[in-house]
Amino acid sequence: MANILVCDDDKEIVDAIEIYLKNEGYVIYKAYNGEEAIQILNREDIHLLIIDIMMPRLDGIHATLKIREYSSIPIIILSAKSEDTDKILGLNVGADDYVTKPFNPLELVARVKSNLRRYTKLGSMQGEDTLVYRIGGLCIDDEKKEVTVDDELVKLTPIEYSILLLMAKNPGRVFSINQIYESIWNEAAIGADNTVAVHIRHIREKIEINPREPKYLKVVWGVGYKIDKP
Amino acid sequence: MKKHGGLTRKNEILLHMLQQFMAFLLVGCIMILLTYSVVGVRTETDSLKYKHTFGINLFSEAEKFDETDTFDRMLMSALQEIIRYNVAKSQLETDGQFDGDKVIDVRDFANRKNSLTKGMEDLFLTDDTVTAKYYLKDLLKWEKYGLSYESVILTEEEFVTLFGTEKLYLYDGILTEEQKETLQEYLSGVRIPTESEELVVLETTDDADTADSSISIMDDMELLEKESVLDENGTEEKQLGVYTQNQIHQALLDIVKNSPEMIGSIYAESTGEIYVQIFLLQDRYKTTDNRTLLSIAESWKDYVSLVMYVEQTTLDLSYNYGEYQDFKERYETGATNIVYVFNMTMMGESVSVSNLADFAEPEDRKKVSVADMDSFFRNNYGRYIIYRPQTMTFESNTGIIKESGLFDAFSDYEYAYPETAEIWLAVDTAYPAQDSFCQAAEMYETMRPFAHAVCAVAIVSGICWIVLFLYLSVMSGYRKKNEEESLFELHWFDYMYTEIAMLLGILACGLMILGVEFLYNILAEATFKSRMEVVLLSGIGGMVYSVVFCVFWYSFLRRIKGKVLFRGSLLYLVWKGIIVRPARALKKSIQALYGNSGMVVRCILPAGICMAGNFIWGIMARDVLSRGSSSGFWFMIFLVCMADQCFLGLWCMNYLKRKKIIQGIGRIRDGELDYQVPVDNLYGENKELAEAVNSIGEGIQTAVATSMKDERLKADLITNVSHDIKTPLTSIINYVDLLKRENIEDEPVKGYIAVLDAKSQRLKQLTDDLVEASKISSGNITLLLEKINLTELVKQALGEFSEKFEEKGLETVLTLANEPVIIEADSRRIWRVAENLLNNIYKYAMPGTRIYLDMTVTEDKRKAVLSFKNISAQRMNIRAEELTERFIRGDVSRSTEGSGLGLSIAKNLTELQKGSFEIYLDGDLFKVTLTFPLYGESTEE
Repeated sequence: MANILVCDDDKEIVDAIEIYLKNEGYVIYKAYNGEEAIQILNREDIHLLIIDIMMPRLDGIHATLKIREYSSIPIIILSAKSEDTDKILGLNVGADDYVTKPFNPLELVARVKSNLRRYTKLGSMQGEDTLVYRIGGLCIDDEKKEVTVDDELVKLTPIEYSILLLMAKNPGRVFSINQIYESIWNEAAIGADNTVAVHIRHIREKIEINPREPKYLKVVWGVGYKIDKP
Repeated sequence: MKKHGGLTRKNEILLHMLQQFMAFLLVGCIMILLTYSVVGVRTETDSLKYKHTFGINLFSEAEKFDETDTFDRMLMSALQEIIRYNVAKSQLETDGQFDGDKVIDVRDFANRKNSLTKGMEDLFLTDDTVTAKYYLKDLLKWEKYGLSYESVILTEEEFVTLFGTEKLYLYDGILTEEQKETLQEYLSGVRIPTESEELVVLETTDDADTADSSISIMDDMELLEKESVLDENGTEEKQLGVYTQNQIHQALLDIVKNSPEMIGSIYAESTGEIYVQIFLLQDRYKTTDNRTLLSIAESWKDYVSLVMYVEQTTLDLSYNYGEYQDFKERYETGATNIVYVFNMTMMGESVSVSNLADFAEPEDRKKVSVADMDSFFRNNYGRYIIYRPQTMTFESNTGIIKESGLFDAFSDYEYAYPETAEIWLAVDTAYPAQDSFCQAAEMYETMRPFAHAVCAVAIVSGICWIVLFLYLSVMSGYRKKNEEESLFELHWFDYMYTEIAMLLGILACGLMILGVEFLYNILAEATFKSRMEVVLLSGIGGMVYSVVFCVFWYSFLRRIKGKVLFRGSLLYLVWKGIIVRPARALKKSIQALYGNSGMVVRCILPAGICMAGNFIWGIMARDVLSRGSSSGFWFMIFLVCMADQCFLGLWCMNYLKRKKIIQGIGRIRDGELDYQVPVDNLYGENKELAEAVNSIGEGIQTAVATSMKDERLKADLITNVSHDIKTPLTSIINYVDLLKRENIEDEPVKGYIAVLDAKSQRLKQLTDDLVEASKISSGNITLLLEKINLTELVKQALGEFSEKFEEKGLETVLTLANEPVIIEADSRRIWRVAENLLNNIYKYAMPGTRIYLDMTVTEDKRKAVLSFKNISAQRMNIRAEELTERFIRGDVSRSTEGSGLGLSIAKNLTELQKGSFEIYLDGDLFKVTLTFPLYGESTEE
């Protein structure tokens, strides 16, 4: 299984994460500051790094910068800093994911899995298939009518599938509720109906690790929904 | 108000009445003294009615009236009247009876005072031999019906023919000023005839001191002689002119003929003809021998003299006739207490007059020897006078002890009473006759014993009046209310305007003066009326005066005391309206001037200088114009215009600079705090102002920066603290989660873990919301504004919450506008608002109720209104506005989940996006209304 390095100056947090990840069968290395993390990275074969930002000696941002000089392993920043600016900064210096404290352990585990999958498997592109739509870890195979997220199969209803497919076919385009309704149901949208919104939420709940902060099917509030371009 | 005792109404009235009674007493007593000390003697003639009054001194020591001075004065007066009576008698009577046919020689009568010097008459009356005789009755009638004159114009010849005058113009001598003027006037107006001989008219002044001067007329030879003499004297001479003899003749004729009043005027024609206007007395009555005056007169001078005699005689006779009638009544036997015997020699005849009853006939009196007569007068009457100038005999027991006084009385009538006269006169002090002596004696003797007492009463009542007057003056206006308190009060009369009261006072004074006149008349009549009547009347009169005076005086005092003398006057109204208010306004404006000396210097002074300059230039320009130089005038006008333009320019520049400063202030007000008004071109007050504005701007900038910094520090602090909380919180949450994963069978322990789980989750929510709220309220967020379809948003949001609502059995009723409602907002933030509101509903709505969402567009298509309505599960016991304050929740116990920041954040976010957020509570109805300007509208506003 994969080796995961967890780096946080708070020992209890590191221990808790260790417990969760060990349950998933990962091997855990622990570090308590940036320098230690880099040393372990150099010494061991690490597949994924979970790192805190605010740490003594070398903080997570600088550590990430240094690591990115020679390694492309997935890095998940785990920080109490929840500002947008912090997230943007973390992602810009090379982190692959950003989880804020206090975190949901299951979400963290899911993200670890997701990142590992992409790191280990998705790096090798499969053959081009026009009927397959890939957006990051999301893959919609219209031939098989299958949807996978990080190779995990997701079960969608036909309507949900149609909606997701519509949007995946037109990445970057924002669909309003009425547009979606008219495309899917083939009839004029009438009145105050929030069916589409409910479906979308359901889709999000199925394909997103954290539906409130969707990665694939994003909500543009007051405008509509969209799937970003890969 | 309390310091004076005050008077009760009853006491005050009593005192006033007492005072007025005192006035009555005072005046009454004075009147008693006055009426009893004046005695009047009435005299009546045809044309005159007059009175002698004699004062009686009631305080005299003398017991009897005939011992007093008054008696003597009355006696003297009576004596003079008797003398005149007898003179008139001698002129008008024949043998003791009035004789109208008596022949009067007018020359003798007119010259009767000179009759004693008959022997010398040639000396003085050389030309006055002419005379006329008339009957007495004719002369009296003539005077009665008037002497009239006739104007006649004669030529010089006629005049000379009529009066036979030939020497009229030969006049030389001292001229009066008037004559001199007439002469000069005449001379200057006449043309000089060339053919005549010339004469010189000289005015000679004897001395510089005396104003006497003479006019002399002389020919050349005389003049030469005169000059040689004059050189030695100090006299001064002035040549008035050189005239012909003819001229001077006429001039002198004029003067001479002008001297009697009978000559009206003299006219000189250019031909040299002279006309004379004369007045001739119309002969109403002829002389005894039936001739006219004109026929008697041989010359103009005679005629003039005759007219004079007639005038004099008629006048004197008629006057004497009047007196004669009056005296006859009063001094004949029985009418008077005076008795007399006058013996005298008139015109060589021995005459005797008397009113004695005992020796009524002159013949009887002649038989009585002088000695017997003396003793008769001495013994039979109280007071007597015996006077015989011939023998220097003077004897009297009256106060008249000097012979000289008596002599003076007679000397005027020397022609009637020559020094040979013998006079006996007495007053019967038994007063058998009711004459003025009797009356005076009665008054004196009745009143004298009481005079002092009456006087004393008068003085006492006078003093009483004064004391009461002073007391009441002090007390006036103070009314005693009860034992210890007295108040000041005004009477109704005092509320009258002061001027009107004063007018009434003046009117009353006028009436009083009339009253005094009335009293005086009463007093003058006193001798003939009931004295007590007079006294009572005048007493009442005096009281009335006192009352009138007191009414006004006390009112005056009360006005002063009550300080309404001026304030209650019409003048005060005028004063206030016309003087005080404008004065106050003036004072204010002067103060304003002083307070704004800058204005004086900057505006008024330049304006004044400008105006003064214009004025001066205007005057100068007028002068220039008057000198006819219109180019100069226009040049002046040009200069003035230039000067005024300079001032105008200065003011305009000043205004522009001021405008810049105002613009600067506006920019600072609009938020451009770092704006600086340029001060380089400014000076004086403008510069100060600009600098002040700049420093205010800087101050505000600093303050804003400081407060923003503070706010940011606060937000940072909260953020940092929340970070520090989050780290341990992470552990708590994780380990609680781990605990949950342990298969714990123990139910209580599972319960504890559940509590820990819930509370740690809540703590997490709380820290997140706290950071969010602090960031929003410090304005430390950036909005990404874009077009938002509100309908879409509502649908999306409901989609997000559909399952949660279903879980609680909440049914949503959505009413949307037909058209898309587009607003401009930050997509994520507006979602946060909707999320918070729906979350709030989810948490607090009564399960199983309906939620109403209504979206409308206002009628003016400017705003979108979105409302959320639900029924609260719990009773809300707080005010609507408190709900949006931080950490407030509908349930005060805070037992349920939520940070209490949801509504606060929603509200702040709404307002950040230019919307409005209102909460409405009605019982359990909870309603939130969001209002956003529609897209396109917000930018316009």
